[in-house]
Amino acid sequence: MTGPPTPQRPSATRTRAAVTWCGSLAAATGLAVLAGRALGLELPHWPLPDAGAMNPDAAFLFIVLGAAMAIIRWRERAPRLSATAIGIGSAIAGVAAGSAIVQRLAIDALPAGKEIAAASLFPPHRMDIPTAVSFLFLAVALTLAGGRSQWSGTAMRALAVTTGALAAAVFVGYLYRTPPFPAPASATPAMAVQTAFGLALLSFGVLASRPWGWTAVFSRSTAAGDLARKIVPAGIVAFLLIGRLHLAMEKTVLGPELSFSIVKVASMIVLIALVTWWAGLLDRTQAETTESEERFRATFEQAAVGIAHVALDGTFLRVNERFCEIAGRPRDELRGMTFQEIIHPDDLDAGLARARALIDGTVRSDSIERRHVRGDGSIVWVHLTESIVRDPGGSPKYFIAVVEDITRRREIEAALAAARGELERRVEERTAELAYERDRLRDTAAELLHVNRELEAFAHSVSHDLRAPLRAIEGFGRVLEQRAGAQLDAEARHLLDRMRAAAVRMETLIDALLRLARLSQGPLTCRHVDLTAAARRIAGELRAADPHREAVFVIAEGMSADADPALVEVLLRNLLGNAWKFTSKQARAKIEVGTAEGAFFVRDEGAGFDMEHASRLFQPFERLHSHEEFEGTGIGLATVRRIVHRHGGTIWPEAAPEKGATFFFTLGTASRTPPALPQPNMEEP
Amino acid sequence: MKTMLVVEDNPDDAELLRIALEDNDIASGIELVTDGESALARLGDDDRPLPALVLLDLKVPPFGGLEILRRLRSDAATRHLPVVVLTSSHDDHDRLESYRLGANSYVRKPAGFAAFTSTVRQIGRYWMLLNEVA
Repeated sequence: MTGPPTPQRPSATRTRAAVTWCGSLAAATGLAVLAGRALGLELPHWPLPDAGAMNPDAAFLFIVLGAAMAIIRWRERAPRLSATAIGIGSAIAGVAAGSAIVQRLAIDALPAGKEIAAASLFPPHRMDIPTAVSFLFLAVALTLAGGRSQWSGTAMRALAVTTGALAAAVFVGYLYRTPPFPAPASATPAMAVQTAFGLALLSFGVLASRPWGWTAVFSRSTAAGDLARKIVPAGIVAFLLIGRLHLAMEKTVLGPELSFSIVKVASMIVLIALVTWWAGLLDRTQAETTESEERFRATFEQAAVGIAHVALDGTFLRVNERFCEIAGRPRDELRGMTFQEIIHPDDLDAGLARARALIDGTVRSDSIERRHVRGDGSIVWVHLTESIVRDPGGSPKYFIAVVEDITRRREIEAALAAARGELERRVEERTAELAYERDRLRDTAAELLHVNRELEAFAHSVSHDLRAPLRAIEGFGRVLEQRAGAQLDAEARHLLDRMRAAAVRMETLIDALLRLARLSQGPLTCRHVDLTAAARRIAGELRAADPHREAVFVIAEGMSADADPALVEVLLRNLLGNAWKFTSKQARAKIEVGTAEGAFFVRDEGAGFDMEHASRLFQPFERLHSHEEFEGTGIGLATVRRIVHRHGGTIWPEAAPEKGATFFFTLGTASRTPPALPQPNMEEP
Repeated sequence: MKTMLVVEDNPDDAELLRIALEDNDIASGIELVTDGESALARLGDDDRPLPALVLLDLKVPPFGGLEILRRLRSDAATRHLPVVVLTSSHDDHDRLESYRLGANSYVRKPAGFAAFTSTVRQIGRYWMLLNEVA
């Protein structure tokens, strides 16, 4: 029998145990008898000396059949081996029993029977016919025990019951000292008590080997099996005792009729007692079942999820409170509906397909999310887990559906998706805007670059074209001076000098302007620049150009910045050059280069200037001193400021007339905000 | 007789150069051309001997002094011809390019004539060397 063990099935363990015990006991009995005979003990006659003795043939057959029966326990593990063994055993027993019957009949029927028997192939048997027939029946039954068909089972049971009943009757008869079989005319004895006992055992074992119907009850693990196993033996013992009592009472003063009545009453009492006992056991079992049911019902009803038992056609068999809540309908209404009716039409086909798959067995249990329609028509999203319950035979019986309301979760998910969609849309918009801006900037940058290049080319060519006439003016002026100088008076020569000086100055201006223009071009190549070292070097050059001046340079240590070295060079050259120039009138000049509050500075104690005019300082060509005082192009500071701005820094002065000037500047790491300069109305160059 | 070829389009500059050379005792043998094509024609003319020195202004028409220099240096006949580049610009790029293309010297034309004369003195010395080597 395949399938998972359920209490309704006969317990295989009990079956095997029963069969093995019967077989073993029967074989042991036979063995004991043979041993007793061999050893000359009184065993064969035990326990009832006048109840006959099992004859050795019977004992031998008990051993064979008992062993064969015991082998049944290995029927499943080694089917062919056990079948062979059982077959051999049954064959031996059958043949032996058959020959015994034949011989016995021959001996009884034919006058020359004994001689024939003696001359036959088989050794003379001493078994009586009932025993031999029983053995024959049991041999056949044992063979049939291995079959699986209905008729083999029926045949087996018929044979076993017959044999068993016969043996039981003989045994009981011996118990009551009334052997049913009167000694036949022949000298052969009737069935012995041990034989009867052994035959009964074997019969029971054969019946137990294929439990069916009422025989199966005994091996079941259910309450019924339990009761049967307790009450039936008790009943048998009770009725046997009553029988014994009857026999005893009959012979006493009570007489046969009275004792008969008494026995009948006693039987009724025993029956009632047995039934009452049985009822009590049943009640207890019933109480346990009820309690178990109650627990299930409570769990089912109070679960926080909706549970429904659904028939195969979709009808609701049972629903719990939560299921009704989720479905939005009262219990009574649901009872009359089918599951299909509450599924959302769009999800219906999928749902039916799943149900079919569960029935077919292609899926075992499934979880999905789908929509149901509530009683008021609103939609609810549920998380559904569905499985199918089958009977022991494997046929589907009903569905179990577990639902959870996930509407809230779905709403949140939808809101999240919408928000994400909105976000993505905005991001796309912004990206498009940014791309547009970026393209515009690119175009502007390209244009600027283009314009810058054009400006540089322009400046380059213009300056070249401007220089040529200057060279002519200065050159020819000089030549004139050389050739005709003698013919000119001092004043004329002086005018010539001034003309030439003006040309030279113009060239200087052009150079400075060109440098200034060039500063706007090209990217900054920023590196770590040692300002201290650069300042020292420039100071040295200034000193070397004019060694007679007494001047002191105080240059702070470790000044450095991330900047373009070439531009920094120009910047320092200009500032230090200015400081050098504007302290030239002093006997002893002091020029300082250092840092203060995150900015660099170049300070001199020279001529200084009035801060009120400071805004003009950085305009190209603006000069706060006349040429008589200090020469200069006026471009220097404009250049310096351009350099500082290109580095993203700031520059501002502090000065007073005759008290010197300090120029503070940063190169992109400004932490000090400079004081605001009064701005002119001009636009920045 | 050694000749010096001057390639200069600006008449003022050319005149000043001549005066400067005279001041440095170089008066004879100066040939003047005013554009690139004439210069190349003169230098490519097999009938006439090559000058001993070329003074080349970078900004002569039609294609500039650097291009003339490149052509001269790619022609086997004029590959080793001494060339002094003259220019008014401070452009380092021009200077580097000139040397890269094989100029022998580079002279800037300052505004001050006195300074110009002294730089031309260098040329004068070089000229005298060339003349001595015959």
